[in-house]
Amino acid sequence: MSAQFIYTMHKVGRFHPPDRQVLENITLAFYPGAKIGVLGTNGSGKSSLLKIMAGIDDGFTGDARLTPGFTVGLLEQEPQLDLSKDVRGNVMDGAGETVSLLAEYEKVLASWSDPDADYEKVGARQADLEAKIEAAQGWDLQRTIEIAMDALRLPPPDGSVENLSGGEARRVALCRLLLSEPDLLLLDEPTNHLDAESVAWLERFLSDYSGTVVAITHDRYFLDNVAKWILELDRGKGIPFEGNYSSWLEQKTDRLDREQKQQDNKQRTLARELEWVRMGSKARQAKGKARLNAYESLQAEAEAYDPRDEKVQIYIPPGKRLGDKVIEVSNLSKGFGDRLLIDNLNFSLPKAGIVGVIGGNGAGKTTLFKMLIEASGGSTGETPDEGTIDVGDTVELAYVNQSRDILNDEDTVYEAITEGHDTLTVGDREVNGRAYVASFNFKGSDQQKPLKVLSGGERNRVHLARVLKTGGNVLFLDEPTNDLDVDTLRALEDALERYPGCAVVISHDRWFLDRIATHILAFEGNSQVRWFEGNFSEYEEFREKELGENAQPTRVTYKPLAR
Amino acid sequence: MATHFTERSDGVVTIRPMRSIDRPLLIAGRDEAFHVFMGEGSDDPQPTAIIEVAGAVVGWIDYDSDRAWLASGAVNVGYNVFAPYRRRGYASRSLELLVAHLRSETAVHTASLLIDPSNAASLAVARRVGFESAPEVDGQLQFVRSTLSPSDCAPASRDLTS
Repeated sequence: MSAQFIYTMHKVGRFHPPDRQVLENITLAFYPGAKIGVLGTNGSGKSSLLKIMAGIDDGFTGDARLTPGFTVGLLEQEPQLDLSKDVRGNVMDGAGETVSLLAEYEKVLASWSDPDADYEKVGARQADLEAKIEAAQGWDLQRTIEIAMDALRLPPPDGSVENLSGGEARRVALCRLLLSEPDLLLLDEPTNHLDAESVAWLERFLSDYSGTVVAITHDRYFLDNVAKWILELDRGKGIPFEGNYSSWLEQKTDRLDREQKQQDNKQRTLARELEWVRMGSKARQAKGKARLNAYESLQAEAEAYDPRDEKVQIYIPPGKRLGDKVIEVSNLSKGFGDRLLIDNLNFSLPKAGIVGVIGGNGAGKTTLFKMLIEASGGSTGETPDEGTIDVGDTVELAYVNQSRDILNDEDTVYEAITEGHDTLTVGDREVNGRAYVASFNFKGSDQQKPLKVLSGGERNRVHLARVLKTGGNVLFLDEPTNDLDVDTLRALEDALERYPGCAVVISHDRWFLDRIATHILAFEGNSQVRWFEGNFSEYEEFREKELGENAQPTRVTYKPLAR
Repeated sequence: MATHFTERSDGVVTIRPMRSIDRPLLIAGRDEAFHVFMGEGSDDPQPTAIIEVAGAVVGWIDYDSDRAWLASGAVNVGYNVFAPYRRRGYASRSLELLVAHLRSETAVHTASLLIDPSNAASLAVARRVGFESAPEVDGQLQFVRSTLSPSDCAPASRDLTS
C-alpha cells in the first residue's frame, strides 16, 4: 500500500477538565515506516497524543485520522489482558489472523482424507491459504512466538494472567502487540519493566520493523539508535525534529543558547549531557575511573557546596566521609524456595563507586539489595544463606523502604515529600521545603496535587525526593528511572555524578547506567552474578565477546538449590 | 537413472540437483516418521533432487525405475520433507515440479507413488497432485499419474503458484 502519510493531525487540541490544556493546535503528518520518539515532561500530553492516534480518545478538537487501509495498535501503560486465557493464549491473540489461517489450513489438510470431498475445491482453497500464510510468514509462527516470549522474558506460557505483576502483564501485552504487526505501532514507555538485554532485543526488533513506530520513552539509547525523528511536546505544542536523540540534543542546546538562557540551570544540565554524548567511548570509560580516584575532591566539593546558591534541579546531600572499607561481600550464596538465586558472589564496593544492578525479572536483584540494606543497618530481614557481607564502620545508609505503594494517596505532593515541615533538614543543611519539592520539578500548584491523581512518573519523582532527603553516604535506589521524564533523568544523573558517596542502583536504563555507573553487578542467569568494573556499554562489549554477537536474551534460569 | 536434472522452481519451492554438502543435511533430516515409512535410509543418499525453500534445504525427492512391478516407461517416486517443514504444501509443489521434469526431459510416461495406508499426509499429497488409485503393491496403496501432458493431470493438479 502506498500513501504519502499514514496518519495526519490538523489543529488537534485536548483539554483535560478542569483546567489543563495538554495539547494545543497540533498539526502533524506521519510518514509510513517512520520511527519517531516522543519526548516531553511528565504531564505534557504524551499519553493523550497516543490515545488519540490509537482512536481510543475522541474527546479532542480538530481533525485526526488514520489513512484508510492501515491498521493501528497501542501498548498502554496499563494494558488489559484476556483473563479467560493463559499467557500463551493472550500472546496468540496478537497473531489472531495468522492463527485462524493456520487452523483453517489444518482443516483443509484433514479434508483430503474424506472420500466424498471435492478435491478440486479443496486443492484450490489449500493453495489460497498457503499463499496467505507464506505472505504473513506464518509457517514459523510458533517459533517466532517462542523467540519473542523468551526475549521479553514472559512468565510461563501455560500460567494464568490473573495474578501477574504489572510488569509481567505489560510484557505479555507488548509481545501480543508486536505479533499483531500493526502498520502504526504506538508504544507508551515500552522499555518499562524490561531488563537491559530485553530492551536491546526490542531495539533491534523495532529498527527492523517495517511499519511506523511512535514511542514515548525515556530510554535515550532507543531514541538514539531507533528514532529517526524526535517529537517534543512542550506546553501543549508538538515540535518535530528530524534526527536522533543526540542530534536533537545538539539543536536544543543551540536553541536555548540563542535564547540567551545560558544561566538557566536546565540548560547547563543539557549541556553536560551533550558533552557526554560527544565524548568517545574511551573518554566515557576514563570518566568512571576518574570518579573512583577522586573521592577526596568530590567530598570536598560537596561539603563546600550550598544548594541555596543556585537552583539545582536535584540535590543529593552528602553524608559523612566514608572510610576505606565500604561494603565487602564474600562467598555469598542465597536461595529462594528450591532455586539458587546467587552462587558464591564476591565483590568490594569502593568509595565513590556507583554500581548498576542489572538482570532479568526474578533473577534475585531485589533479594541482593535487601541483603545489602539489612547488613548496612536497614531492616529488610533478608540475610545470606552462606558467606558474609562486611560493612564499614563509617557507612550510613540512605534508603527509604520501597514506598511508592505505601504513600497515602490523599496526601498532596508537598505533604508527602516534606511530611509537613516547611524547613527540611537535607543531610546536615536546612532547606526550604517548597524549594526542595520544586527541585523535583513540582512547581507552583503541582505541589498541591493529591498523590492519587499523579502519573507513574510523577509518583516516582515523589519517591525519589523522599529517598534523597534522608542523607547518608551509601545510597540504595530500586528502579529510580521507571516512568521518569528525560529532564528528571538528566537531573538525577547530574546529582549522582556530584554525589560523593556510593550508590547501588537497580536500573535497566542503559544510558543512565553508562553515564553514572563505575561498576556493573550483572545477574547473568543460572545463579551467576558478575561483578564488573566499567559502565554498561563496556559490560555489554565484554558479554558479546564472551557469548558471541547473536546472544539472545532468554528467560531467567536458576541452578537447583542443593542445601 | 537421472543423469540430467535442471533446477526448477514454482516461485516458492525449488528442486535442484544435489551437492555433496547436502548429504549430512539429508541424513540429519531423518526422523521417526521417515524411518516408519522409508526404513533405515542409505549412508550415502543420492536423491534426484534437493527441495529448497528460501535458500533452506527442506527435503529431497527422487525417482527410480528398477522395480519389478513397474511397467516400462514408469517410475516410482519417493520424497521426504523434513519435520519442521511438513504440512506446508512443499511435498505437493515438489511432486508437481518433478512431474514437469519427467514430462519435459525424460521419456517417462507414468509416475507412481507407493503409500502406506496409514500415511495420511502422503495420501493427501497424492490426491492433491492428481494421482489416481492403482492396484496395491505388497500391501501398499499405489497411485499413478500420467506425465505426458499437463492436461492429462487429474482435476486437483494445477499451477500452485496462482
